[in-house]
Amino acid sequence: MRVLIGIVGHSPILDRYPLGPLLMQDLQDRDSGSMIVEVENMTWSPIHVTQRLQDHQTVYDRTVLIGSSAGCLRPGNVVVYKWIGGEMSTLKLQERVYEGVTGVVSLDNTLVIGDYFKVWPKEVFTVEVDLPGDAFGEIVMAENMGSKEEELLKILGFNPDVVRKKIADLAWSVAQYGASDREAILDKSVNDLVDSELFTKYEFKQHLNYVN
Amino acid sequence: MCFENLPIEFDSAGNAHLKSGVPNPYQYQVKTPAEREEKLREIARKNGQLFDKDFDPVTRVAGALAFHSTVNLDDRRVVETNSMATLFRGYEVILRGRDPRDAAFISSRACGVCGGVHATASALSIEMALGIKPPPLGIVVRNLLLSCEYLYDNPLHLFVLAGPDYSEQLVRETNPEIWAKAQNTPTRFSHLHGYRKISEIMTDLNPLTGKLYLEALQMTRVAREAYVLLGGKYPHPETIIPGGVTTTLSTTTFNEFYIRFSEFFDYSKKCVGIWDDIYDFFYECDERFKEVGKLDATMVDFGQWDHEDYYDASYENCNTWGEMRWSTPGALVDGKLVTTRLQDLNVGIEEFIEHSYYEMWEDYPYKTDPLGAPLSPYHPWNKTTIPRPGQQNWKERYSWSTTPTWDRKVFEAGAYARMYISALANKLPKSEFFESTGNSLVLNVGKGAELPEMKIEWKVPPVWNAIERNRARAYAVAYNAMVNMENWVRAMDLWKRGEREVATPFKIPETGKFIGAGFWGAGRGFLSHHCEIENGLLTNYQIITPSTINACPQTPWGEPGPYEKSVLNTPILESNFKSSEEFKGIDILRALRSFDPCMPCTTHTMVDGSDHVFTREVTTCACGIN
Repeated sequence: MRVLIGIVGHSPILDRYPLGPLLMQDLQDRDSGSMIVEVENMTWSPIHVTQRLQDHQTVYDRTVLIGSSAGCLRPGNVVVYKWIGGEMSTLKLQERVYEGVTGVVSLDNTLVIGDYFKVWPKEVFTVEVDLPGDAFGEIVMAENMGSKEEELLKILGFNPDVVRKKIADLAWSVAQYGASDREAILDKSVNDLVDSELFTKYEFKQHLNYVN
Repeated sequence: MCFENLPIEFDSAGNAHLKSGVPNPYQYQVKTPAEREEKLREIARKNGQLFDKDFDPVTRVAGALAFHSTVNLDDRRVVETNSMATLFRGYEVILRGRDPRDAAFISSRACGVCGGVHATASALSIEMALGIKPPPLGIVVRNLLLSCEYLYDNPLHLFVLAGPDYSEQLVRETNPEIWAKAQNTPTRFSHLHGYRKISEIMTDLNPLTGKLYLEALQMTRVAREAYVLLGGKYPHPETIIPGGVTTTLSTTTFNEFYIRFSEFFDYSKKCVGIWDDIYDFFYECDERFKEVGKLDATMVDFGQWDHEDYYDASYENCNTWGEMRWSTPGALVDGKLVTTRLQDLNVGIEEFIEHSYYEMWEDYPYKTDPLGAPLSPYHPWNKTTIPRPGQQNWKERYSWSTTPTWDRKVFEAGAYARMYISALANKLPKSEFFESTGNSLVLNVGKGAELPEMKIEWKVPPVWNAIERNRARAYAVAYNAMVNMENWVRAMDLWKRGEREVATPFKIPETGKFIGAGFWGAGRGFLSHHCEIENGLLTNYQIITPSTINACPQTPWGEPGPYEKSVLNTPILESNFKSSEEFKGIDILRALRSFDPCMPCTTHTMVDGSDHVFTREVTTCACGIN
C-alpha cells in the first residue's frame, strides 16, 4: 500500500501556521508500519503539481490532500472528505487552470486539475481546515510583534497548535485506513466547490465592508 | 534633451539640472472631481445608448483586475474606462525596517509567476546601494535564469492567457463570419507549424483541448526545469542574492540546462509562424483590428541581461553598463527613442496617488540623484507608501495601483518594449545570435530537432495595438532563447577558463545611509526596486512593476492609464449580439489581455484592519492563497 499525502498551502516560513513546516514534520515522523507513506509539499501551482505527478513513475493507492477549505464557517474546524469528482464545465475548469498557471495555490484547484489530467489514484481524500481569510497574516503579525499567545488565539479564534495536531491525526488516519476507519466521511464532488471567480470579489467586498 | 515636461535641462557635458526661474518646478495641475463629473455628463448628453460593461474580475489574467467601461453600442465605441487593481500589495511596508539581505527573498513573493525577477531586481538594488560587484559567472548565471523566466512567461501568455481570444471557441461565438472565413483561408507559414488552414490553428488554440494550448503548458514545464537546474527552485529561487548567486555549478549542470532550453529553438520558430498567420488573418478580415488596443508607442524599459564585462553595480557608471545590456534600456515617446541612458530613465520616473488608495507623503529627502541630477518629490527614492483604504469612486480614488509616469506621461511596459527599444536603439553588444538594425531585430535561431537554423526578423510595426503587442511577444520567445544561447556560451567560456566564483561576499555596514536601485525587467517588462538603507536596515523600499504601469488609474491631470486609454481607442468589432445582455466585450478583453496583465505584481495583500499591513501568504501569490 502506497499513499501520497500532499500539503497544499504549506508555508516553509511559519511554525505556528497550521499548514506550516511543523505539520509536515509531524506527518513525516509518524511510523507507517508496512505501508509506504510519502509526504510532499504541494504548495505550487496545480499545473506544476500535475506535471510533477505525470512524471512520477510511482503508482499510489491513495492520496490525501491537506489544505484550507475554500470558505471559513467555523475557524479551526477540520473536516475530511472523500473526493468523488464529477463533471465540471470546461469553462469553469479553464478558470481554475488560469489561476493555476498564474501562481494561485488552491486545494480545490489542485484537486480538479489533477482530476482532469488523471493524476490521482482511485481513492482521494481531502483534509480541510477552516481558516479565517487573514490567518496567515495574523500569525505573521503576532510573531513579528511578539504578541502574547492569548492575543493570537483571540484574533484567530482557534489554537493553531491544537488545530495542526488535529489535521495531522485525521490525515494520518485516512491515509492509513481510507474511508473504512470513519463512518461518516462526507463526499465531495465538483458540485460542492466554490466558484473560483468569487475569490477576488469576496476579497474586495470584504475590504469595502471593513472600510465602511 | 529627453524631457519635454519635467523642468530638467542638460548642460553641454550631459549633466542634468533644474531649469532656472521655475518657481515650483514639480507642481502639477490636478483635474478636479467636478471637471471629471462634467466630462461624464457631456458624454451622456452626446450618447443616448450608453451602458456599463464591467469585467470584474477580468479573467485569464493573473490576479485581481477589475475593469469598468461605458460602451455606446450604437456607435460601437467605448466612451469611458476605469482600470482597477482590487487588492493591495504591501511589500513596501513589509520590507521597511528589515535587514537588506531579506529583501530578495521577501520581495520575490511579490509574484507567483515571476518571483525570480523580483529577487534579482532586489539584489541589484542592494548591490548598487552597498557597492557590491558580482563576479562574471554570477552575472551570466543570473542572465540565464532571467531568460528561462521569460521562456516560461511568454508562451504562457501567448497560448494560455491571451491565445484563447483567437481560438475557434471564442471566435465562433463572437464573430462567426471570421470563423467561416478561417475555414477557407490557407496559412502562409505551414513550414514552421504544419497547419494548412487558419481554422486548424484556431481549433488548436481552444482552451484545455487544443494541442497548442496543451503544448504551451508542456513548454512552461521545460522552462521551469531549466530554471531549477541553475536556480534551485521556482518560482521563488533562494539562490539569487546581492553579489551574485549561490548556485553550485558543474559541466553537467550546464549541459542539462542546454538540453532543455534548446527545445525552444524550434518552438520559438513555431510561435512566430502561428501568430504571424493568425494576426495577419485578422487584419485581412477587418482592417479595424488595427484600432483594437491602439496607443501611441510610448514605452520605457530598463533593458536587462547584464554584460559581465561592464556591469559594476554602480549608479555612477549606470549609463555605460546599461547600454551594454543584451537588451537596450530606453524611453520611447510616440514611437521616437528619446534616451537610452539609465540615469535619464531613473530621473524621469514619478509615482502619483491621486486616484489610488494611498496618502500623500511629506518627506523629500533626495533633491538630487547620486550624480547631482534633480529628482522629483514623487520619485521612488522620495516616496513613502501610506495605504489609505477607501470607497471606490470612479471620479476620485478607485485603485490600489499607483500612477507611474515618465516625464509626466503614462507609458507602457512589456516584453514588446524591450524588442521595440532594442531594435530602434541599435546599440546591442555584438552577438552571433541576434542584432539590432535600427528598425528591426534579427534573430539567428539555432537548429532544432525538426527545423533548420533560420533568421527571424521582427520589424517595428507601423501601428501599435493589441495584435502587435502579442506578435512582438511571440518574437520575444526567439529573442529570449537566443540571449540565453549567448549567455550560455559565455558561461561555458568562463567555466573553461577556470572561473568558479558566483558571488561576492559582503557585509552590511552598521552605520551610514545608502541608496540603490535595481533597474531590471519582468516577463511583462519594466521592473524597478528602489531602496534606502540606514544604519544596517532598510528604511525605504519601493517597487514599480509592469502591471502597475499598465493598469494605472489616470494621472492627476486627467490622462488615462494605458489600459484605460487603449480600450477607449478600441472599436467594437464583435458581431454576434443583438442586445447588451449578449454582448461579450471580446474586443475590450483582447485589448486588455494584450498587455499580459499580472495583477499579483500590482497588488497583493489585504489590508488588515489596522495600521499594520502583512501578507497573508508568502510562499506564492498572496492573491491565491487558500
